[in-house]
This record gives sequence, C-alpha cells and structure tokens, in this order.
Amino acid sequence: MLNKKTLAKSTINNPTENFNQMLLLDSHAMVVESCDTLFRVNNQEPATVWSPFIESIFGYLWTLKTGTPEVLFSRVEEPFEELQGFYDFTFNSVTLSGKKYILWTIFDYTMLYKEFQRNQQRMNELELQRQNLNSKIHYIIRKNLTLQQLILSKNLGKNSMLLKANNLLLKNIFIDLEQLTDLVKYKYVGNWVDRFSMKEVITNIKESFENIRNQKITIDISKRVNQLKIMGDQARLMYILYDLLSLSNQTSSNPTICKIEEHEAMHPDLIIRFTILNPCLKIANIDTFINKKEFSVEDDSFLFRLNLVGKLIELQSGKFHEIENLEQGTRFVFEIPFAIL
Amino acid sequence: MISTKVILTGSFGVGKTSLFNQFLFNKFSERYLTTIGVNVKKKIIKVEEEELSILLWDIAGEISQDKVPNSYFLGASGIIYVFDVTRPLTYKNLTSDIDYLKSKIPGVKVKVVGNKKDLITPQQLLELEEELSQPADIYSSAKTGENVEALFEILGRAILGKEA
Ligand SMILES: Nc1nc2c(ncn2[C@@H]2O[C@H](COP(=O)(O)OP(=O)(O)O)[C@@H](O)[C@H]2O)c(=O)[nH]1
Ligand SMILES: [Mg+2]
Repeated sequence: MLNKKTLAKSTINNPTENFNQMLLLDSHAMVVESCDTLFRVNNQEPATVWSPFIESIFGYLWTLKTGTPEVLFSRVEEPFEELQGFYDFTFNSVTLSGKKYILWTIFDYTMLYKEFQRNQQRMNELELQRQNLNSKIHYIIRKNLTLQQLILSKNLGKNSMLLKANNLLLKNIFIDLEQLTDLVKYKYVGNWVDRFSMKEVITNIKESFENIRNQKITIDISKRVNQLKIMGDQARLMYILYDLLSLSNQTSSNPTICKIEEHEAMHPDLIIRFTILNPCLKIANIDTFINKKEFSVEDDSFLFRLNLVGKLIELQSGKFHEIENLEQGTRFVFEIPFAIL
Repeated sequence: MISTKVILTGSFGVGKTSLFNQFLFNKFSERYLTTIGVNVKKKIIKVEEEELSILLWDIAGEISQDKVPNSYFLGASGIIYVFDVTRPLTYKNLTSDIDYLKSKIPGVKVKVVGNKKDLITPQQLLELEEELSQPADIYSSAKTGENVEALFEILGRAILGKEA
C-alpha cells in the first residue's frame, strides 16, 4: 500500500509541477519501481497498489500497447483509503528489457482541485436554485394553474391581496464577451482601443441587467392579474431600467416607467412589459434602428449600444416591442420574462 | 467471483453521491458536496446466490464540465443513469443521453433511476411518468434508502444475464 509521505510542502513552489510520482507496475499490479516523491512504497513486503480504482481499470490498462498515447484519469478523489485529496493519473504501457510494464504517474493536485471544487460548488448551487424555480413553473404548467391560482395555492388567503415579497427573478445571464460581440457582428474593431471601449459598453449593460436580476419586486394583485402593479423597490428598478436605456451620458433627468404590465399569465414565465419614457432622448435616426439588423461600432454609437441592449433582452427571451419618438422624449417598450419564485 | 465496473451518471445534484454512500455505507447527508471527478469504491452483492463484486464509480456531472472524460467510461459493464424526479432538466435528455452512452460502450447494461422519490407524492409520480421519453427502471430515495439495494440488484441481474 501507498503511504503519504510527510513532505515539507513549503519547499514546493508550484504544486502543479515537479510534484509527481512514477511507479512501474507488473502484470499483477505489483510495484516494481517507484520514485517515492509523493508516497512511500512499503518495502517490507511485495508492494501492491490494488484498490477499487486500479482493480476496475487494470484489465483495460494491460491491453494498452507500448507506444500508444497515455491514458489520463483526472480528478480522482481518495484513490486509496489512506489518501485524501485529488490526483491526476496517467498510464502508459512500456517495455523494459523485453518485459511489459505499466508506467503510472501520479500528480497531486489536491490544493488546486479543492479550489476548483469550491467554485464548482458555488456554480452548482446557483444553478440548482434556478432549476428549482423552473420546476415550480413546470408544475404550474402541468397543473394548468393560472398565476392567480398559484398565488392562492401559496396559502396567502383569499383576502391577502398583497403577495408579500414575491420575488421575480430574471434568468441568469451566462454570456461572455465573445459570445456577445459575436452576436452584434461588429466588423471594424481592428485595434485594441476600440475593443477596449466596446468591452466597457458591454460590461456596463451587462451590469445593469445583473442589477435588475437581483431586484426583489412585490406585485400587487389587488386589481386584476392583467393589471399588475409593481411595488416595493419600484423606484430602484425604475432607475436601473432607466440606466439601461439612457444610453447617453445624460443621466440627470427623470425617466418614467409609464406602465409595467403582466403580459401573458399562462406563459411559463411571467412576461412583464416595461414602458419607459426617456425625456432626454430623441433618437434622430430611429428608422435606421428599426429597419437595420446588424450594427457595428462604425454606426452611431448610440444605435450600436441600443442594439446591444436589444440583444441582451433577446438573450433573456424578451423582446423590444416598440421604440418611438414622442414629443416628451423617446419611449421604449420592451418585454422580459421573469421567473416566479 | 465476477467483478464489474459500474458508473453512476446523470446531472449534478440528482443524488449520485448520495446513492453511492447509501449503497456502500448506509449513510445519507442533506449537505450537498459537489463531486468534481471520480471516487471509486467496492461492494459485493448477491444475486440469486451468486456473488458479484461491484466497483462503483461515482462521477461528476456538473455544469461547465460538460464532458465527462472518455477514460472514465473505459471497461464499464453497467451504468446507472440517475435523474431527479423534482427537476425536469435532469430528465429532459434521457433518451438521447442513454443512446449516447450505449453507443460509447457497446453492450453496456443501463438502468435508469428516478431519485428523490421521497420528495413527491404518488400522484406526482404518475404525472412524471407520463412526461418521460422512456420509462425509468426504478424510483429510489437515497435519503430513506428505499429501492437503493433493489436498484443494484436489478443492474446486477442484467450484468449477470439473469434478467427475466
Ligand atoms: N430528499 C432527498 N434529497 C436527496 C436525495 N438524494 C440526494 N439528495 C440531496 O440532493 C443533493 C445532491 O445530492 P448529491 O448526492 O450530492 O448529488 P450528485 O451531484 O448527483 O452526486 C444533496 O443535498 C442531497 O442531500 C433523496 O433521495 N431525497
Ligand atoms: Mg456527486
């Protein structure tokens, strides 16, 4: 059996390099040779490395031919009872003095993979939350429940008109820059300065979306479901939305959300239509925007940014409904589906 | 004694590690600890008086690690495909996933298990069954232990060619 060596870890600068052990195994998986960097191979008796892991692959390993590529098993957890941690293993078939052996290399990546595990855990937990949400929605569809029925089924009582802190969440945005820039098909971003400013624009817009996503909204169903009023953090939401669509540097004036209405109660998600009036804006070439499909940074930067917002809304399975110049300013109408929590 | 490699696969969080621990140690924990690679343990079961040594591979099925390394599948004779009865996304690709696994490991025996049975009512289970693109072989709860041994028994039966 292998025993963990007590290593002076401080002397190892980069655990991903020079921190491995090689073992030579014979046809019975007995250790013929070992450099003992990580684990000491017991010398008293014939050293075996038999473990459920080795047992389940050794038959296959022995069929490997000398000269064929190594086989990698990554992130093997606790491969031996005595050993905690994560290891990468590679196996090769080698021939020495006419005899065949399996060359087994062990890389100790415990530190690295523990960090990886923490990150993965965070991601998975988030995704689990999101899927739980979806399952609830799925259940509504299966049951053909209307939103109202759902709300009532939550035992809020007939007369409880205010659905307390009913959270509406936007879908997670897992988009990266590459994907997005790809989407808007910009053609002339040759130099890094352009790329840089582009990145900034996208990051800003993305952040605005992230902010909306984390909003908790209380909806008032006291009237009828199709006249939803969004209360609570409405003011904040309003500013975020405004931010999103201000698109110019004039952030001082007052946008108004004219209307927030639920659109389709039976849709798996709750689709909310936002109407925003931005008094600072008058889009000069609004027709260009409506008629043109693709924009590049060569275009009016405002249109380009507006287009990006549009793409982001689409990525949320939402859509721009209308953009209109009115006397009081520009009015944007768009819809975004929210998930019901 | 025949010894056989069996892989637990399916989306993350469906209860693979929990089934692994319940099967091997009769233990269950509510706490979720993400599996990032593979953990292999062994247990001997009895199928109609015949002993079968199961080398069980609990592997990661996490988001962003979209592909399980090919090497993990080498030499497997059984696969347990686990889905979570409370999460539609975990059984959405049931049929295509299984076709893929079968094409990857010719002759492999696959059993499909719907886990976390304790979280739904019998009525909800019926509704779920109608949604599945192919029937599950068994429904289990790693929490209560229900059908965990039975799951390995039906797989063992299939591997030993003792299916009715
Ligand atoms: N109620 C219930 N929870 C379970 C069951 N199986 C697993 N879980 C829980 O589901 C979460 C994920 O389980 P885990 O075994 O780590 O899933 P894996 O990612 O497929 O290995 C953990 O919090 C478990 O406690 C079950 O049968 N019933
Ligand atoms: Mg796991």
